[in-house]
Amino acid sequence: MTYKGWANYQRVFNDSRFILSLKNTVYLWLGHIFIMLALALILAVILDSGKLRGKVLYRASVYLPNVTATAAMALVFGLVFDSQFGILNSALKAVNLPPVPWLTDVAWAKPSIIILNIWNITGWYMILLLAGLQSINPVIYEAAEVDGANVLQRFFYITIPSLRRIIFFAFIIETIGSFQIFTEPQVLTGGGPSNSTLSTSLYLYNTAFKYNKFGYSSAMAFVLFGIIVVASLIQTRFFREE
Amino acid sequence: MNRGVSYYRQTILSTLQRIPLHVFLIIFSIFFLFPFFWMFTSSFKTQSELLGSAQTLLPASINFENYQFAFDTIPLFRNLFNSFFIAISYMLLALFFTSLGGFAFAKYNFPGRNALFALLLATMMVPQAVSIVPSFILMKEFNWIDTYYAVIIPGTAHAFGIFFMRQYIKGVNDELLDAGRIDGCTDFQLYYRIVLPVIKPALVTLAIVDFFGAWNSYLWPLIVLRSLDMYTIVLAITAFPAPQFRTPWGAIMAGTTVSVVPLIILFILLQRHFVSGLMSGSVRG
Repeated sequence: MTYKGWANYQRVFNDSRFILSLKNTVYLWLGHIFIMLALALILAVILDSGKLRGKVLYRASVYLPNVTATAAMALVFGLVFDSQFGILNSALKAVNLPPVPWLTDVAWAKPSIIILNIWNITGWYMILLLAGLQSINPVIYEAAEVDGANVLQRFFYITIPSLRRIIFFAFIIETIGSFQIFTEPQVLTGGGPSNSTLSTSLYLYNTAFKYNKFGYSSAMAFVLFGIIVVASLIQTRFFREE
Repeated sequence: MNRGVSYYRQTILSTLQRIPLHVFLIIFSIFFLFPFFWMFTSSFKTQSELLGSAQTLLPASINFENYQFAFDTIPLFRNLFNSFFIAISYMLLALFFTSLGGFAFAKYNFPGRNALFALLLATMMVPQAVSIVPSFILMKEFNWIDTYYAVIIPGTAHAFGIFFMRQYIKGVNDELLDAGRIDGCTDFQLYYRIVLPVIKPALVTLAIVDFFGAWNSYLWPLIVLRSLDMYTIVLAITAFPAPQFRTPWGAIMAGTTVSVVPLIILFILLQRHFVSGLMSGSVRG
C-alpha cells in the first residue's frame, strides 16, 4: 500500500462514471420517494380505520415484502420484467399493447428499479405512519367535525400537519437509505444497460471488489458520505423553516 | 377504544364508502402479493410453460423438477443450514452484547459516558459504504474470509441495539438493583438475574430484528463469503449457474421459494411481536 495524498479525491471529481452514478442515484431517489411516501400515507390513513374488514390482512400484505430478502425478491422481479417470458409483457400483449423492454432499455431500467423499490419498502413506512396516526388526539377530529370540516379538509388540515414530524423523519431516513441503494440494481440489472442503473454504492463495490482499488473506492465512499450529510442538513433546515 | 376515534372513523367510512375502498385495497394487495404468488407457482412450472408464449397463472401440473434441479446444482441444504446457523448465532450474540452495553449506559455513571453514547449514536449515521472496505481488510488480516466468523461477529454490538436496550433498561426500577446489591450480587449477576428477566419484551423485539436482518443481508456476505458451500441461502440463489447462457428460471424460483418461505412462516407466527419491533423503527430489509 502506498500513500497517495489527496490524489484519490482529485480523481473522484473528474471521474465521469462516478458523476454518472451520482446522477443515477439521485434519479432513483427522486423517482420513488414522493410516490412511495404518498402511497404509504394513503394506505396508513385507510388502514387506520377502526371498523374496516380485513384490515389486518391488508396490513400484512403491504408489509410482507419487507420481511423477505430484497436480493431474493429482486430475482422474482427479474422474471416478471423479462422482455420475452415475463408476465408483464404477456399481460401487455393480451390487451394489444406493445411489449416494454423493462430491463434491457436505458430509458426503462431505472423505472423498473423504482417499481421494485416502491414494492419493497412501502410497507415499512406505512407502519411507521400508522404509529403516528394513532398518536393524534381524537378530540381534534371531533372539534373539526363540529365545525363542519369534511374528510378532505380534515386530512389536509389535521392529519398532515399532525404527522409533519414523522413524515419529515421518514423523508430523511429514506433519503439516507436510497443514497446507498445497492441490492436492487446489483441483482436486477447489474448496473446495466450501459451503466444506466449503476448506483454510487454499486460503483463503489465494483471499484473495490472487482477492480481491487480499495483506496479509490474509500475516497468515493467519503465523498458519498459528505453528500449524504449535506443533503440531510439541507433538508433539516428546509423543514425547520417551514 | 375512544368514542371520539370511532366516531371520526365511522364518518370517514360512510363518506368514502366502503366498496371503492376495498377495491383500492385489493388492487394494492395484489400488487404487493403478486410477486410471491408468481414465485411460488413458477417454481412448479415446466421449462416450456415458463418460456412459452402463452403464460398461464397456474402450472398445468405440480412437478418438482425445478426443486430437484435446484438441490442438485447448488448445495441448498448446506446453504439453508448456513443461514439458520448464522442468523441464530448473530441474534444470540447481538442480544448479549447490546443488552450488556445498554445496561452499562443506562445504569452506571462513569466518566465520559454521555460523550461515548453520543459517539455511538453518531456511528448510526455513517453509511455502510464507508466502513465496508476497512472492515473487509480487517477480516482479511484475521484470516476470516470465507468463514462463519466474518458473517457472525462484526456488527453484533450494533449501535441501534445498544440504544434500544438502554432506553428500555432505563425504565428498570433502581430499587430492584439496589436490593440485588444488598443481597451481594456482582454486577454481572445484577444483569443476568435482575435486568434480563425484566427486559424480555425488548429482547424478543430485537431478536426478530436481528434474525431477519442476518438472514436477509446480502452485501456483507457477498463480500466475505467466497465458496458455494459457505454461502447463505440468499447468496446462493443469486449465484445460480446459467447453463448455455439460458437463465434456469424454474430452478431460481424454486430456490427463491426455499429462501423466502421460512421467513414468511416466522412472520405469520410472530406477527404480534412484529408490530412493537416496527414501532421502534428498525426492521428494514
